[in-house]
Amino acid sequence: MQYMRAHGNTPGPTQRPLLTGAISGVLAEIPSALLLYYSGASESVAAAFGVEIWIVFAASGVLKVLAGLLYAAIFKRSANDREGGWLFGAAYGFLLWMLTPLTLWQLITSRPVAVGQAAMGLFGAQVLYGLVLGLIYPHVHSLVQGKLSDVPKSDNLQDLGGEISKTRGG
Amino acid sequence: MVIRSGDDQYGMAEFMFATGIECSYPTIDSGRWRIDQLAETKHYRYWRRDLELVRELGLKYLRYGLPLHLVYQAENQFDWSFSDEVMPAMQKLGITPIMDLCHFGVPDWLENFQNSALPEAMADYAKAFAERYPWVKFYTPVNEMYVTARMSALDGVWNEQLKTDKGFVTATHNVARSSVLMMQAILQIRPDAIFINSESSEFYQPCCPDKEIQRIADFENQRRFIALDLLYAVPVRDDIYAYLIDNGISNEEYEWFMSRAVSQSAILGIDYYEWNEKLINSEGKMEMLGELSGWYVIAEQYYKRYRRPVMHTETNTTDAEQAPNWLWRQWHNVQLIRQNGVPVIGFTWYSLQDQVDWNIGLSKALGNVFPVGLFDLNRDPRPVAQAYKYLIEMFKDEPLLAGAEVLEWN
Repeated sequence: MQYMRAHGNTPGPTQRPLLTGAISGVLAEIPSALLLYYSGASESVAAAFGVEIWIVFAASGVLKVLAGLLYAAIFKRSANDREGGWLFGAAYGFLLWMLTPLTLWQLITSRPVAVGQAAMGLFGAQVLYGLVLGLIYPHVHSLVQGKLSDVPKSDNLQDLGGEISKTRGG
Repeated sequence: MVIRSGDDQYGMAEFMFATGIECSYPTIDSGRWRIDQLAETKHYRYWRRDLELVRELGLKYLRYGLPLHLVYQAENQFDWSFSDEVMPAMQKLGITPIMDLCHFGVPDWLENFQNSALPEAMADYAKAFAERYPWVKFYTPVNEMYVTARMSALDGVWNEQLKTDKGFVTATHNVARSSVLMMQAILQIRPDAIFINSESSEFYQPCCPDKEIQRIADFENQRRFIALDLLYAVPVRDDIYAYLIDNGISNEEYEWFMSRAVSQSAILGIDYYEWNEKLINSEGKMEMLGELSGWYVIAEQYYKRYRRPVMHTETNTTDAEQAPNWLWRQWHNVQLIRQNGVPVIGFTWYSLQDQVDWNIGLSKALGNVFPVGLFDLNRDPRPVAQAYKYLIEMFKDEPLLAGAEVLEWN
C-alpha cells in the first residue's frame, strides 16, 4: 500500500488506465486460455458447470477483460511500473485464483471444479494471466497514453483558463 | 550589473521558468553508504528521456548537477564520460543548464565539509568544468549552503554527521569559501557567468512570549543567514560574530569574506517547502509548522537583507493530488512580490521526476518514492506537470522584470 501510495493513486493527465487494462486483459488471456485448454482444466470447468467448452472460453475472455479493468482501477499509476509490474500482476493472478475457482465457483457448483492436473492447470492459468498482465500493462500503457502537448494555446485564454481551473485542485 | 527587460545581454531576456533534476549525493551511516539520487531516480538510465521531458513541458532552464563523487575522482583527476554525453545533448535540445556543482556531498577523497582543503579543491573542479564546457553560463556553486552545513554538522544526518556548533561553523565557513572561490574560478573562464546561489528559505517562529524561546527563535533566524552573509559580505550581528569566533572562525577568515568585492552577477535563489517554517515550542524545541507566512513573506526578508535579484529556485509538495494547487499558490506569491517591487526573475518546480527517501531527509536508504515530481519514476506525467505546462503557456510572455525596464544593482 505504501508503494502504491508513493506512486500516487491518480492516474495522471495523459493516462488511459481503463483502456490499457482492457487491452492488456485481452492479450494476457491468450496464454492463459492455452494453458486452460492443454491442461484439461477447461473440460473440467465445462463439466462442473454443465456447459459447452466454448462457453467456458467465451466467459473466461469476458471475465479476463473485466479483470484487466479491475487491475487498472486498483493499481492505477503503479501498474505502469516496468520493473515491479510483473509482481503486482502475479499477485493479482493468485488472488483471482483464490477468489474464483477456489471459492466462488465451488460455492456455485457445490463441488471442486477441477482436480489433479486440471486443478494445477486452473491455478497456473490464473497466475500466468496475472503475470502476463503485469508484464505487458506498462507497454500497452506507453502505446495508448495521451501527450502533454494537447494544451490550448495562450491566445485562447477562455479555453486555457478553463483547463487551468480543472487542474488547480484544492 | 544592469539587467534590461528584453535585453539578451546577460542571456536573461525572458522570465526564467525552470525545473531541476534531483541529484543529492551525501554519505550516511558514517560514510559507509553514499546516497545517489541520480541512480535512485533512474536518471542514469533515462537521462535522454528526462531532457526531452523538459522541452515537452515548454521549459528552457534546467537546474542540473553532475554526480560530483563520480566525476571528481582525485586531485586534478576527472571522469567526464557521463557529462560528455549529457551536456552536448542538453545543448542540442536548447536547454540552458543552471549547473549545480555541489549538492550536499563531496567525493570520498575530500572526506566531508570539515576539510579545510575543500574550498581550493572545489575551485579546481569549477575551473575544470568551465574550461570543458565553456558554453555554460549559469552556475549554482554550492546548493543550499545552510542546509548542507546544518544537516552535516549540526543535525548529524549526512557526511561528517556531527552535532556541534563548531562543526556547523566550520562547515559553513568551508561551503561559503568554496562558493566564493568557485565563482572566482569560473569568472576567469567565463567573465559573463551568472550565479544563482540557491538557499533554503527558513523561518523560526517562537510559540509564546517567553524570553528564552524568543531568544532561541531569534538566534535561529540569524543563524539561517550566516552562509549567505559570508558569501555576500553582509556583516553579521555582534552576537553572531561572537558565535562564529567562539566556534572556530578567526577574525582574519571573517574579514576575508567582508573585504571582498562580491560578484555583481550573483542572484539569490530562494527555495521554499511547507516544512521550511518551524516553531520553537514551549520546550524550546523545533517543530515543523507547515506553511504559515508563505514564500512571499520569507523571500521578502531575504531580499531586504541582500538586495539582489531573486529567483524562486525550488518548491514542491508531498501531496501529488494537491500539487497543482500548491504550484499556483507559489506562482501567485511570485506575481505579487514582483508587483510590489522585488525583482524576482525566475520560478522553479523541483524536481522533474519523483525523488527517493526525501520524506526522511535522506537519512536512510530505504527506497521510498517521494511523489513530488512533475513526472513519476516511470516518466509518466503527474497532474502538476500538466498544470505547470499550462502555467508556462499562459505566462510565456512574462517580462523578466515586472513594472520596470531596467534593474541595476551593485
